[in-house]
Amino acid sequence: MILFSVFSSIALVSSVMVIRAKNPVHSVLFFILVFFNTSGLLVLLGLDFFAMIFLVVYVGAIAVLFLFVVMMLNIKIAEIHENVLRYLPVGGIIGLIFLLEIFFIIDNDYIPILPTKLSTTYLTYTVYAEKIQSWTNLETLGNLLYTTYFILFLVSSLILLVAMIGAIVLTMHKTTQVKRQDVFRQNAIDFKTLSIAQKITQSDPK
Amino acid sequence: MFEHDFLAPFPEIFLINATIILLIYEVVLSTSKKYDYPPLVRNVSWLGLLSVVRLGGRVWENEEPYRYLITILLLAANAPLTVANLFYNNLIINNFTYFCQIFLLLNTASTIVMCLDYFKEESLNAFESIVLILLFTRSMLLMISAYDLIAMYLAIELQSLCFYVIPALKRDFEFSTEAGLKYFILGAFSSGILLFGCSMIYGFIGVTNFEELAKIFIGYKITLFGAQSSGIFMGILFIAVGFLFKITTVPFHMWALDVYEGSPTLVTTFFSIAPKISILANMVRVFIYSFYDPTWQQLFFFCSIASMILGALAAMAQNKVKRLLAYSSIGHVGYLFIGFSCGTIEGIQSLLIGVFIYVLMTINVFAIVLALRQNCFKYIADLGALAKTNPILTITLSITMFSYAGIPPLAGFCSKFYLFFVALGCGAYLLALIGVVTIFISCFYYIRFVKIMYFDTPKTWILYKPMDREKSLLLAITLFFITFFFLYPSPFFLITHQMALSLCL
Repeated sequence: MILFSVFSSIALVSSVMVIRAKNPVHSVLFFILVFFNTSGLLVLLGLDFFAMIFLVVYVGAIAVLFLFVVMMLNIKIAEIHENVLRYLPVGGIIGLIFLLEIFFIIDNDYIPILPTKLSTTYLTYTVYAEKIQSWTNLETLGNLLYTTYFILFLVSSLILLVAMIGAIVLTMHKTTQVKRQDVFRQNAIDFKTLSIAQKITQSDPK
Repeated sequence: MFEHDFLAPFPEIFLINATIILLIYEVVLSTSKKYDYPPLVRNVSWLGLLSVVRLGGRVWENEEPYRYLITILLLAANAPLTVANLFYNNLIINNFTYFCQIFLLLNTASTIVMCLDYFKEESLNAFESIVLILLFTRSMLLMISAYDLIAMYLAIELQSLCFYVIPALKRDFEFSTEAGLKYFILGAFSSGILLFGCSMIYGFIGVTNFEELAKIFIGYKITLFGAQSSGIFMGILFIAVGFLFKITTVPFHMWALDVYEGSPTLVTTFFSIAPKISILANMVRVFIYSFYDPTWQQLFFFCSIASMILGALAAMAQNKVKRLLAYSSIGHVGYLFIGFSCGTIEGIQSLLIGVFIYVLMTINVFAIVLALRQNCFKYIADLGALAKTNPILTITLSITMFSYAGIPPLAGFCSKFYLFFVALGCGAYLLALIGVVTIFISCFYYIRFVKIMYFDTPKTWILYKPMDREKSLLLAITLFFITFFFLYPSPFFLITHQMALSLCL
């Protein structure tokens, strides 16, 4: 219970700080903190594989991507903070709507969090011996994903293909004036004299 | 499993292989110095067209193929299995999907045909657009036969991703990048809402398969304990909203207009035709088969009424062609939703007929718009005095506009008549009334096209180049269908009736 409250409160505070931080790099770091805490919550739920994948995918790929973009854009620190209160009414309403959805879940006899819903007829004797499971999370996922739902797996691969094609279509410039990396030229730099070794690059037409 | 599961989606497997081979072909060939970087768009378009028509595999290097409609949809029409339940209940194939897929492939083939000349005119060297078009054809085929919430969502994502890229192809034209960005945000948001609805449904019911959902929803309203789970209601609502975003009906149509207007005309063609068929087919399966319930009916009534009214009223103030066509497509989706929201078998049948005729008319109109874009045909007033310079094109456009407006012997009237007939038959009198009123209002701007063509003189006389052979064939075929549909519509009515019936299984 303590761990749950620690993780969830830090996650909530960090998520608020994501939007309120003045420095965009601080926002991204708080974002990463949100993900760490959420994966801690997932571990508490018993989903070990899912929590680790959360870290790998969200922190390792998505948050790093955010950080790249934030670092590439030259955002000055203090200009972003104007008129945040302008968004308060609509944002507040949407936030309230999402908060109210929680009551759909709480108002349910299976989660006796609210003291009014506690009833003593739910105390049953659980035979713990029959609850022993020998499959890990990873095995269960693999057992389903590659056998029963393999078609979905293949369709996801198509989605990734489309994403790749899309990124290349939209951003690759094929003209000759574009600066490109020439790996051979870079490898031929002689560090002592900081000149490009002549022999190697003479046969290079570029 | 393997004896049926890989046999039945054989057309789709072929399409994927063809797409991948085409992609590799164009990437390798267009960056090779030996061939001097040929612009490969024309080749790849023809190959794409051929793979859609399932000819498969001959490389047409420097000549145009003269016979291209060799048994269109060869594999799809001779599908080895027509009724199957595949891939552990993730996909299903029955009469509904069979005919829908054939129809969809016909339309994609026609739009690829239309776009061949476009690439040459615009000198748009993006051959990846053909690959993306093929990929989203694949996704739409998958969407039509999806039988599971996860499969449906993945197919919708695949289609949406392909669509996010293509409006932004003209990189130096800021309208199109704006359109691409807006469509991306809109699409991502609606996919998110859709997924949220799916996950709520899964959370409260525990199954994602459509058939099991159908079995569970039989007793949804009539339960002994009166416990109607509000979570399921929210789930259905979110799924409905997600779909309505994608099909651009009225409370959720906001950016669709900017997307339609800003993207290159070819892309607008794709947007108006292809997703409507597949998303409507999927919606029919989801809502009428699985969630057969008056929960979503009120929402769809409201959306239908609002779409019709908005499509009729807002299009009157437009002077740009693509925005007007976008508004008219919104209005049309409103009419189609009349048939959908009634929930009866005739409703689905009228929806399918309406979709077919809508697609025919849209192909016609966009072929004309693409053909006339010599001087960047943006405003309607550019059409002035077309009757004197190009009388046959004028007649074609007039007949199509009359069909859009619902004038009697043409096809548009037949579809609208059947839609209103169904609405009256199931008691939705308000829907039919508002539909008829909005048809009257919308007649104005359709017939305004005709008036401008015949009676207006523009400030500068615009002479258009004659259109190429493929588009003229396409125009002729669709015009033939539109004009003579009323003489012999019964094979088509029978097909749609069978499609609608197979949804009841």
